[in-house]
Amino acid sequence: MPTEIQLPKVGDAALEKLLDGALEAHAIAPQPEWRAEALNNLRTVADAATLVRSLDLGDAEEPAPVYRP
Amino acid sequence: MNAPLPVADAARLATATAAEIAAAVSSGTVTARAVIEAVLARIDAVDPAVNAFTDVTAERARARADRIDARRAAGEALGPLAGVPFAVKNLFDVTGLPTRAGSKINRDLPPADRDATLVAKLEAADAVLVGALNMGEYAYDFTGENVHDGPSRNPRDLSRMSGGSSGGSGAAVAAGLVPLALGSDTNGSIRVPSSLCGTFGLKPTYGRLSRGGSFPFVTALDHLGPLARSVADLGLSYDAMQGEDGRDPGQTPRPFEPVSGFLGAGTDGLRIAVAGGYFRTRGLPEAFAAVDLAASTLGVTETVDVPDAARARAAAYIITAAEGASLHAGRLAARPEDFDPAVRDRLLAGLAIPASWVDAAQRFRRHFRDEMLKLFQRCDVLIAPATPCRAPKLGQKTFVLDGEEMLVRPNLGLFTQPISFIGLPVAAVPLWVDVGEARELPIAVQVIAPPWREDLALRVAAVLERTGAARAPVAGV
Repeated sequence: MPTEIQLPKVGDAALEKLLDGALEAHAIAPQPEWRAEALNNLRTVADAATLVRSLDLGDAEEPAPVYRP
Repeated sequence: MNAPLPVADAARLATATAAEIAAAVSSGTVTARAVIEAVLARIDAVDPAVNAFTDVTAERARARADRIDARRAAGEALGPLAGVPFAVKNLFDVTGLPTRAGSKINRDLPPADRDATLVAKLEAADAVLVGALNMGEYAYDFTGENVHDGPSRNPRDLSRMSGGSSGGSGAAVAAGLVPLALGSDTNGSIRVPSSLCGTFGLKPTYGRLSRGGSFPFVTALDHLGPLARSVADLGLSYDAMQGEDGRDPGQTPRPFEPVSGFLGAGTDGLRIAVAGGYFRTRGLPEAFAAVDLAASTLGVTETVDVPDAARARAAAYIITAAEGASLHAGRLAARPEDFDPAVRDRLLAGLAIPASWVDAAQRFRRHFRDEMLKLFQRCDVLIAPATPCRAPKLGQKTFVLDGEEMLVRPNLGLFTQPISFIGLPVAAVPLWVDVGEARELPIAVQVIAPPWREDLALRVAAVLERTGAARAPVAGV
């Protein structure tokens, strides 16, 4: 049975680390203004993810994509 | 039935519907070449103001029209789209053109050596491709603005957005440059331009039509479909484009399920409801007035709450950002300065999304689908707004919805995103309501059906069209 759970908002410092690490791993050196805008966008995504993850679906629900060999 | 197309009236030829043109060319009343010349002349005259086209394939179109006319002269029966001019969003492969997908970067690609599957299918039905259409960069857009090619302008008010990302498709159809255009819809990119420009649009069920030979955005969510000025034209083109195709691994094998013969079936026996809850908030009064007009026209009194639509939109947002970023990671590293900044900075953010967030979104997608299928046991069709407002001004960055200032670019699709998230078929239906500002402009509703029931969505759209509540006249550019 899906259950609503409380999740904390992802902190700004964690998002900065996520973004900087990901961009470095992809060999991208952003201009400061690109990074600032990307961080704003990542905040929107993180808040969306908190909303999605706050519905606990248990372990049985399959992800939607299905590979058909 | 309208009067026969007059051969000598180029303007009337150029702005006829696909059904009218096909009937006239098949019967020999008009040649395909005459239609194409009229359309090319209209594109020459009108498109500089609208900026819908990025490529006009005039010689190809003339050659194809001549072949169609020669076949008819030889006594051969023509296809259901005989001589019908059409154009495609420039993410469709067109032989001889680089598939730019709205970008600066992709125009350095070699020209396509083969047409996209849906282009080939329409031409197999004797339609005639006349060009490729402007779009938001890499389809990550709801505005129709493009920093490389300039915005496609709304033909009903050139100072306003066409909507995106299939902005050129909506603008070309509304301006009467072509009766039929193809677009793509990942989160709303057929339905938003249909609403802002005032055209009919069909986003079929996810997996119904082949995406072979189209440049992807988010393969988990990408759909292709038509925009037109009549429901009959949507049906004609949709029927011509069905069929299994090995070029799209995401396509679901389905039988040929034509709709054109059923568009007049009406709504008797259909359980139609208005989508409530999420779909009655964060819109301007005209968005809800359009839904109310559709409901009253159809005699609908029931409202149903769509469960968890906000979460569905959030999940679509995550999958879009992550998968789009993954697709473009190499280009972001190699040529970041060549992106539209508004697209680049969203894609950069997408690179940082943890896999667990994406997986949670995909798991929720399954759950939401199951919940919606339960809802469709109680009703056959849902009516919801297509956009929260009429066409914003070009360059407008924000709007205020329910007292909250929000960005235009990501939020024009707030009503479309939860629906495409689970791949439901939707007809976008343009209505004209005397509510709010800019009342001379259209705004569409979504007619939403269960999976694989495009016929139901189009039947309801056809009723709205027949009553006159919905219409898509050629804009007076």
